[in-house]
Amino acid sequence: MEKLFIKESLNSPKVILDPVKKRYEISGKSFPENARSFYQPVHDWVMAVPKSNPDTIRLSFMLDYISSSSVISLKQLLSKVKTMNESGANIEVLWHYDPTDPDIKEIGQEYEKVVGMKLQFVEQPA
Amino acid sequence: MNLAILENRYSDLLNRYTGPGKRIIVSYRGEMDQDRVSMLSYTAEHQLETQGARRTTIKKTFNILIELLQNVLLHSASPAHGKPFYFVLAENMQDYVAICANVVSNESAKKIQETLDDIKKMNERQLKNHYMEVLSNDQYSAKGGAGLGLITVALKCNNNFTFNCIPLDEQVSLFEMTAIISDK
Repeated sequence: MEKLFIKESLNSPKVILDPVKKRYEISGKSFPENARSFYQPVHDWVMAVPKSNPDTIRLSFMLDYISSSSVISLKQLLSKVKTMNESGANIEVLWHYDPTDPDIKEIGQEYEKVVGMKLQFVEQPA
Repeated sequence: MNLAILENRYSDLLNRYTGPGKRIIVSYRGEMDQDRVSMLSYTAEHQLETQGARRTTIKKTFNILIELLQNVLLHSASPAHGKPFYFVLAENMQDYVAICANVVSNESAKKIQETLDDIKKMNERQLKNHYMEVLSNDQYSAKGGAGLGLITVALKCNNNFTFNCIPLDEQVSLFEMTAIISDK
């Protein structure tokens, strides 16, 4: 697996997918102009995760705002994670949320229903 | 294309939301690009924080503004004239009013009106179910949307929105949407 790093911008989150440091995070605000192309490298990275990887990848989402187009792209990303896990990969999804802001936790719960996979919810005050 | 209508309506809005109990918080008329989306939404967020609006209200407003402004960015239909639009966020007594307008093809205007007419008839539970249906459905447009942005706006303002389409010529219309966010 290669390292993927995308710098945070005013409208897009920071992405760190680093197999050497075992750090896998997407954090910040997500409302890029084109969510599909922004998340494409992350989709590609997930699809390249070895299906017989002995290590568990703990992928953390620490987002404090997600626009509707990003909601769709992240749902597609989580669907890919589910497919990869069904094929032998071991990716756990940690969904961080601020308990004073119901929106982010709610989006995570919607993903559990729509994608059909369990997320680990992590309470994290802003 | 008669852009004077756009200019006149923008001026009318600035007048309408100036006076006792009313105040313009952020307003802008010009060309849309992604930097404007960020600039206008962060400015609005900062202004609302400064004047002590409730955190949930600020969050809802930020959400609505991003969706309205990104709709302009993704669905403007005026390649020959750029992406002209106007945007006003105003205080009106206990409410905040977000108004956004841009030029769309008449075909898009018809589709948006039909979508919003359907959304307007829904109660909160129906809206939420509709949101989940659209999210479950994998038929997204090339631009990544699926009408989820409009449903999000409706959910965040408790379906308290209005819209209107004014034909500018045989090809395009001015589409204006107003969402009212209560700070009570």
